[in-house]
Amino acid sequence: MGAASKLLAAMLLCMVVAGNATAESIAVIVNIKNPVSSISKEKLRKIYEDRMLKWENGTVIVVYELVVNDPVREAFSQIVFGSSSEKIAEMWAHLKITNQAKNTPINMKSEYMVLKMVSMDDGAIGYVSLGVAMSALKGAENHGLKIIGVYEQ
Amino acid sequence: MSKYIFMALVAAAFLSAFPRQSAADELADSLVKDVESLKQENKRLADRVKNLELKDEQDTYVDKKQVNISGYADVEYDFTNQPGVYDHFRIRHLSLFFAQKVQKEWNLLSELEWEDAPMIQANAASDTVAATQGLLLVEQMYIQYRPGPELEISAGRILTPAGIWLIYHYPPFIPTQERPLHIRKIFPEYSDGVELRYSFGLLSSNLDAQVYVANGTGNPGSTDRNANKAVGSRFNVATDLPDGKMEYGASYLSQRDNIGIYQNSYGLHLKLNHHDLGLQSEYATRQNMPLGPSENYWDTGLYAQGTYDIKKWTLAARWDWYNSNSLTPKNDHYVYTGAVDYHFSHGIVAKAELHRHEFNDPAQSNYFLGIISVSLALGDL
Repeated sequence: MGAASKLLAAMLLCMVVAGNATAESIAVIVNIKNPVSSISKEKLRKIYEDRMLKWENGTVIVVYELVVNDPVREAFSQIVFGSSSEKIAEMWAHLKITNQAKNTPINMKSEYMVLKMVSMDDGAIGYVSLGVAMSALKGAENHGLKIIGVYEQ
Repeated sequence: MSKYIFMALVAAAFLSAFPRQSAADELADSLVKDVESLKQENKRLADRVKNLELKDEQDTYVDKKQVNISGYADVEYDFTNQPGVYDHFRIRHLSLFFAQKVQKEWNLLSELEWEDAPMIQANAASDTVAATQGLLLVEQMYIQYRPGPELEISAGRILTPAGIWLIYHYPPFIPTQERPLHIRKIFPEYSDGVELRYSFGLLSSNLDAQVYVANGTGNPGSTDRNANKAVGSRFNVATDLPDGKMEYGASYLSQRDNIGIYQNSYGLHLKLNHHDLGLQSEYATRQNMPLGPSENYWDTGLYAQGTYDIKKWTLAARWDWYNSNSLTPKNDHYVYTGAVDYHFSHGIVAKAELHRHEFNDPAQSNYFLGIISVSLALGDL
């Protein structure tokens, strides 16, 4: 009975992932050592708005972000903030110029860089397109990652 | 006999053919190995390139040791019917920030501001300055100890932590060039002293608490003209709303000024964001208690500002009131503001704003002020 329910859960998970696997799907990734297994949109918003600074276990969150004109960042901004990436970048620029930013995201030029950096840092969080995340998880080079959320624009 | 000869020939042919077949296989195996080896070499080189890119990324964004220079600049054209003031072009600000993470926990930030394109000209014939104009100001300069993102201790010149506008006032990121009337009057623009900030979660909200000790208004550095120190604090709570965010908080400052007036300043602030709508409001009041028989008085200000974003456009409207002395009758000053901003990118904005100034003192003339400006942010922001 237990095995059957596990199989059913796995099938449902596969269906959810497959159902979400469109070009606009964004995967939120963390380091595999991070005990967090899922994340709400509200928490993501707090992290990416400088309002949640540490994970529940006390580890400082290291926030990775893509550059402003990246289409994946634009999709992420629309999903999480309901606002353009330019608007969010403006908010961060104001925080940075006033030195009020507590946990400034580190901008990466490519999704590959986000994958690599998140896989190397226990407290890291980032996002990439779901296809990129899935292929990285299949590959041998990014085993330090796990997906904790999939969102569709 | 011929049968045996034929079998011997077949056997010889077979035996002679076998080594040739083996050599071809060996060649094929060798080629396959070469291809595999080239594939591995190709993958190794590709990984190396990616790691070099990563190293470059780390050098650029993570482990940077160099001084980070950023800032902003804005130019404008002001037109008004205020008596005695002419329409003019204005090079309003050139402001440069120098910041460095000296070590993991130690930072330095300084902001040098040139306002109205200052000109200081030496007098060749004497030790005096022949000509000056504009303003050159070290608006911020502090050394900061930051053991974690939730705790900071800053020593030096800081923007006075009070309300919203005193901190978040940089032209590329605010809807108007003109600030509300009571800003910098009730709480000072900057303070020389020591500030502690602590941030923590409270239920589902986040709270920032700032406390500071400083020389007080008008007492920069060694020119402090009194022994009293100003003590102040600011609290800000940020909480989620359905499809939005709300921030609210309070500020306090206690000080004795250079002519002996004991002052208690109190402030409240509120900021709401819902989709593309924004509301920002600040109330501040100060109790002034002069030495001797003079009567206590209050100066008070309040503004409320609404904004609406439509793609690259921002529409803004503000109502603003300030009373500089509660003992003086007909001392109210109102400003009604409308503004339209166009954001070329997240660091470049053009603004057109109109302010209507009204006084309830009949001795003062009402007037309007219009400003057309372009502001841009500099550096990696």
